[in-house]
Amino acid sequence: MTINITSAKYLYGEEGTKKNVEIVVDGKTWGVPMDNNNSDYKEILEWAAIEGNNITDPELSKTCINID
Amino acid sequence: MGGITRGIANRLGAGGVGANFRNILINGDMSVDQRGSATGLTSDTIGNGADRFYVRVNDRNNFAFSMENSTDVPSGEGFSNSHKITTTTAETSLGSAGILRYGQRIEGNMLKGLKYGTTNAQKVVVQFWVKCSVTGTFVFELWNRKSSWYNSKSFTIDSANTWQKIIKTFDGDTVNDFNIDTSVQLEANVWWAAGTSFSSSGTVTGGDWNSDATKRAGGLSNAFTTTLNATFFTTGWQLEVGTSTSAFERLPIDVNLRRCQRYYQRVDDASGACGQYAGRSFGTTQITFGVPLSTPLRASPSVSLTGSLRAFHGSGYNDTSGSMGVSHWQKDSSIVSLESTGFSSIVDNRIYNVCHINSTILEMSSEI
Repeated sequence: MTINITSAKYLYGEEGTKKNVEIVVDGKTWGVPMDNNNSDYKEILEWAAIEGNNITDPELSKTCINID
Repeated sequence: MGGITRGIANRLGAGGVGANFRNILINGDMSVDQRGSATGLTSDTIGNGADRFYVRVNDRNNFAFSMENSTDVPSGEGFSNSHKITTTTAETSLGSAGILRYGQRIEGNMLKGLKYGTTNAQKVVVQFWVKCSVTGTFVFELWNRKSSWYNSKSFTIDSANTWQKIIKTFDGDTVNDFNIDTSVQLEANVWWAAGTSFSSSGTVTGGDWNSDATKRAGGLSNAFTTTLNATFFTTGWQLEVGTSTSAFERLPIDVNLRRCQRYYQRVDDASGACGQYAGRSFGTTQITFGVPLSTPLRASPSVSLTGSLRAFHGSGYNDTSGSMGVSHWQKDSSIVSLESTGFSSIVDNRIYNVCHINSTILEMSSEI
């Protein structure tokens, strides 16, 4: 992990699928595409793999630990 | 015709505007600073003060720093800008996995000419200028990110507040190659401070590619990071194939900017109402809109919105200040489709004109 993520949640696209993860890093909000070529997304995957970190899913009103 | 063109390019490369792109690093003269300065930094930060250059922070206790662009440059060398980093809180107890370093991550596509992983692996030479308010021993490192092999050489700043040129040559790695793609494959770094995980095997002997991480940064004095208000200026970074340095390659500013914008672009409305995009609504909260790019981005970008976007339709409008993401991105495309689900009470399946209001800033980052 190299960036300081303090929260993360999924954003849904027009097809009703998860396409981006909204994260807050050092107080700034970023929308990160779920694309392995995006280096921030790789960071999110590492962050989410750490126990206690969760990417919240507002559509399903539940918490997911794994992205895929 | 081709010979004439090459001749001109070679002559220009001797000291003028040489556009043969022999410098593997981008923005080595620190002339592009799209983000501006930042202070109170305590974690990894890229681009503030000079595009493409970053500070890596790990396992710190209390180190904090600022990054800014500066006009303090080595005299008579043709530079106008440098990158200034200041220690705003001194480190007192760096952890064993501690990393405090400065450098640039390099995309694999930029490394074809190095021929690593073959018997024809090329030697490279790096040059840069540095001026630091504290003396001590630092380490310059090349890090093959694909194989996690390293090659480090130390250098000493023996006169405080004095510009000094650093030149180091490195053998080519005949064992480990690079992926020639859009991912990070090589890093060029200056270590300021390191924990025992990166320094426990003693001082760097230099010159050999190896996989022993404990040799990456041995012998550091760490003085820059342990001194409050210490300053570190640097400019003129060039990494090129060869065994001796050539004159710093001066690219036209528009070319340098475009090279930086492959990794980061912003539409900043503070300097004029330039952000207006055609959009289409989906449902009652979402609009997808196309944003023209200055140059194709390396990868699908992370997106951040500071301020609000206003969507006009007919005589009405709706605002959003968040929930931004990428709708569609395509390699080598000069437009990216973004979306926001932060609107309210919009009408489904309509055309909207999406505009920046006041000082809205839209940032797109494809950094590596």
